[in-house]
Amino acid sequence: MIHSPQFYQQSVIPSTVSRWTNNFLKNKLALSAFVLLALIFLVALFAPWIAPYDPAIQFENTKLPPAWYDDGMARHLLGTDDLGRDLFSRLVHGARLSLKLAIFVVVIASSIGMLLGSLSALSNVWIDQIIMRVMDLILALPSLLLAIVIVALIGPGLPNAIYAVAIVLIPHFVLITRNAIKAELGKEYVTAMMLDGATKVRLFTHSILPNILPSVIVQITLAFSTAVLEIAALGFLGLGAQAPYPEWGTILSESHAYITIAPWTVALPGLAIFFTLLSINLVGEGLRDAMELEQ
Amino acid sequence: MTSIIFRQFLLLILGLFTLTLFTFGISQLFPDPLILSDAHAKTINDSLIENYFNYIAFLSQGEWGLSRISGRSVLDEFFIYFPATLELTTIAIIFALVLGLPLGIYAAENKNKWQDKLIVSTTLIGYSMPIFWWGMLLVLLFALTLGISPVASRIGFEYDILPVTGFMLIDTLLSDQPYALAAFQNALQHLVLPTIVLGTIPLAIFTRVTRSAMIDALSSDYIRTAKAKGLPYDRIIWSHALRNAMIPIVTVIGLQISVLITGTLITEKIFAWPGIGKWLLEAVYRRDLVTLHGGLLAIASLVIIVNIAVEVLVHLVNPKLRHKK
Repeated sequence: MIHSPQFYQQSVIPSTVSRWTNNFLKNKLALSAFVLLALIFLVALFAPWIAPYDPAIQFENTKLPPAWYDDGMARHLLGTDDLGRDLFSRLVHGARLSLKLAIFVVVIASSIGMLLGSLSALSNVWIDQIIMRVMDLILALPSLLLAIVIVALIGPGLPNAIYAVAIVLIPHFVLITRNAIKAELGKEYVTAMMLDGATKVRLFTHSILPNILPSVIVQITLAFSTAVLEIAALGFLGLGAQAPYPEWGTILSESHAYITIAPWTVALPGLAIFFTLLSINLVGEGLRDAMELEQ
Repeated sequence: MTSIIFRQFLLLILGLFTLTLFTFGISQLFPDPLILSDAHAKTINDSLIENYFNYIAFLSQGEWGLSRISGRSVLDEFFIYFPATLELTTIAIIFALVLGLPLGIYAAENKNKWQDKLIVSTTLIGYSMPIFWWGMLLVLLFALTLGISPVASRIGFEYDILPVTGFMLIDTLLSDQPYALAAFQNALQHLVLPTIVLGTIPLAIFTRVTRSAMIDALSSDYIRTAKAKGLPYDRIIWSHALRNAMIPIVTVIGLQISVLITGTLITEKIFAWPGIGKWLLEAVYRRDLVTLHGGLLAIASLVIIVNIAVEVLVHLVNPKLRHKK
């Protein structure tokens, strides 16, 4: 017995992050959604190398069905649209555009939202009230309506649509951050830190911030899926990305008129949006379960 | 109790105040300042505060400006287009509730069994569905391929129905034409696809909320007591668990109004539905900022009022909150 490697009773206590990772890996559905999302990201990243053609080049064969149909052609895997542009190339470039814009929107919205949320939770009642009332107002406005009004004021086009979507997403981050900070401030370990003489900044960066991170991460995945959807919706309504851009919603709105003659030009871009949203939502759900957050 | 109503009333006033501040701010940003009427134009001067009070005075008199497209009063136009949207959204909410509540209860009863997993994953699919695409797919399948549903609009062009209330289902029944009943059926058929498209996301949300609220309720002590008393199963579910689960459900129903309005903008475009969404989009395409301003103000006030009303309702139905000081 004395030579046994397990002489003393040992137990390894996993760190929080490794516990989360283990929980997430056990969830098969969320894991497969993560793989799908990673694939979509890779496609977006290497779009110029994956797409066989330039998304704007027009070929002679317009409204060519996908390659698996009898009158399809192998050189146009998913067929062509009404102007003879290769649909596969447009969708691949669309993934790059949609994800790039959505990431940009989420970065802006989450940083402004977290900043305002922390300010609201940590400063005096007046600043808190002003910030919260403004956020209440933005929350009361239907998101697409607010985006439409902003776009109508500063004109349609991609950058303006992006700002509109970002503004719409900010209040959720403010609320989550503020409520999480308020909840943490009441806990005993924070009081203990205060008694130890921690400065306000240290208290914030070392005790509060790591503990509100799970809620914020879940909110980021939610916001990411909303951003992808709203950008596509604005594109569909003709207020976001304009015609030559291969944005998924814009492609859908262009092909709306050809729904009976070329149904694949409607079905495929929608399928791309749908699978992107589904995988983001599943990953978000999986993360929330893995981090044992209840909403 | 009165203190709660008073507090909610104050929040309502505060909400409407910030809203008018916001719309006033927007009206100042317009390329040419927003003029509500000739009388309003005369009152505009250099003082922002004075301008704001004049703006509020004219709004409260119902002077919301004239549409640049049609030349009619924006407020009148809102009430012309609003019934079509209200009819569609009401039916979509009913559709979502009638399907969502039983599905959520059924999933909660079979927690973690395959039925529950099937329902939960279906709601995730519904939640991830871009509704503009979903609408087009339904039109392609049921209207264009199978031909069992009309493609768009509220009623077939062969029916001539006089708008009395603005609600097509009521107007067709009130009509004294010989085809009134046929027109009613026709209007119902036109409602089916838009209702499904608009109701999908609320349906997914209601199902999930009902499921989690019922799971919470079913695992509580009073349900164990009810079971121990030997109450019939149906009674435990429907009158004990569901009544307590209704509180989070009512809250979520109130929050859906914002989601529904976002949805109508898209649904009305797909189905050429002559409602608020179509009206506002037309205003954006033609850059009619007066209409847009009026529409934003009307819809946002509506959302604020409904949210406060739901909050009061939640306090009324929940004894825990009703008796709280």
